Amino acid sequence: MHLTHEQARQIDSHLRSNLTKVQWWHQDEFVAELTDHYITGISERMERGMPFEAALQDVFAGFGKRAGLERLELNYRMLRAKEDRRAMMRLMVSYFGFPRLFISLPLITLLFQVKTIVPSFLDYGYPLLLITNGMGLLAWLFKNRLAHLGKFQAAAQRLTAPFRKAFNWGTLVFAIELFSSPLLTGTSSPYVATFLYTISILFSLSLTKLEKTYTLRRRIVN
Amino acid sequence: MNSTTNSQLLKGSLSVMLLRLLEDREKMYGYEITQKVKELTAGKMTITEGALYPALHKLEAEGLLTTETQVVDGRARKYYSLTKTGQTKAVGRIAELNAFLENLNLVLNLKPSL
Repeated sequence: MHLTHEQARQIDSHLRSNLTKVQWWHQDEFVAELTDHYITGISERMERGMPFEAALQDVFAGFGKRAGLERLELNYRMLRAKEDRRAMMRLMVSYFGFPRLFISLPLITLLFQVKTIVPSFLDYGYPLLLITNGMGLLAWLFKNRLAHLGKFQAAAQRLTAPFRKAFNWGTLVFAIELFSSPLLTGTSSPYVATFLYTISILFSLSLTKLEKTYTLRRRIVN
Repeated sequence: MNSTTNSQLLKGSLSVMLLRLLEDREKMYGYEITQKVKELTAGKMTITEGALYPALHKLEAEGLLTTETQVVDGRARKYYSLTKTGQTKAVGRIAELNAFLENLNLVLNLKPSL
């Protein structure tokens, strides 16, 4: 039995209200699996003469109601997070092998050269902090205070992502400079800084790559 | 059979049951598995969704199952199938459970001593 558009919408809102509101990478895939189970289960029960609402509650009970659904979601998120961490590690390690070594090797050389010429960005700490915090403040304003921006709302929304990115990178640069400063690491400062910068950039590249893979998979699911 | 007793007895053997079902069929989706178990046991055994999906997801994370998504009736359906490792492990785990059941039978069918 085919469910009506309204019944499908009810299932969707039922699932969304009984799952956590947190956004995570594999959420669409997880919700799609549950939706398919709900639709198949409800259709079959309705064919046996059960009303839609009772069928929905019956399937819901099978999952252990709200607590069961939340437990299932948490369990799946944890399993997938473990998988994601492994995938990230594999991607990062791949930058030290052929052919990605052609990206990482020049990157390391360049970073080391920069760190030898400019021993510490902390010399520019004050303006760096000011710019970083400014970006963070703008990102927050554009994201949370859109109502005050009138006709510029759409443009402001588009600007949020790069500002947040600039804030994150600015904070990271500040933290790396702090932890690799000659005061803490002595003469090995440029090596420590190069290492930390390399890891951060490779992490970011791997994360973007992994995210792209999941976006593609999400498109297939939807 | 009482449903609580049923679920307690199922706990340890659910993953083996899933491996056996998927060994028999090339690929299956969640709802299909629950119906197959019901059909095979003439309704005497039911797998709740709350038990089925965590078990499927765990087997997938262990690398024993792989998934593929197909569009059926305009919506995405996730099919599970055994990986190469899953096929090997399934044989071992089924044999283990069978041996356990045989031993359990020996104990349960104990004749009273004279």
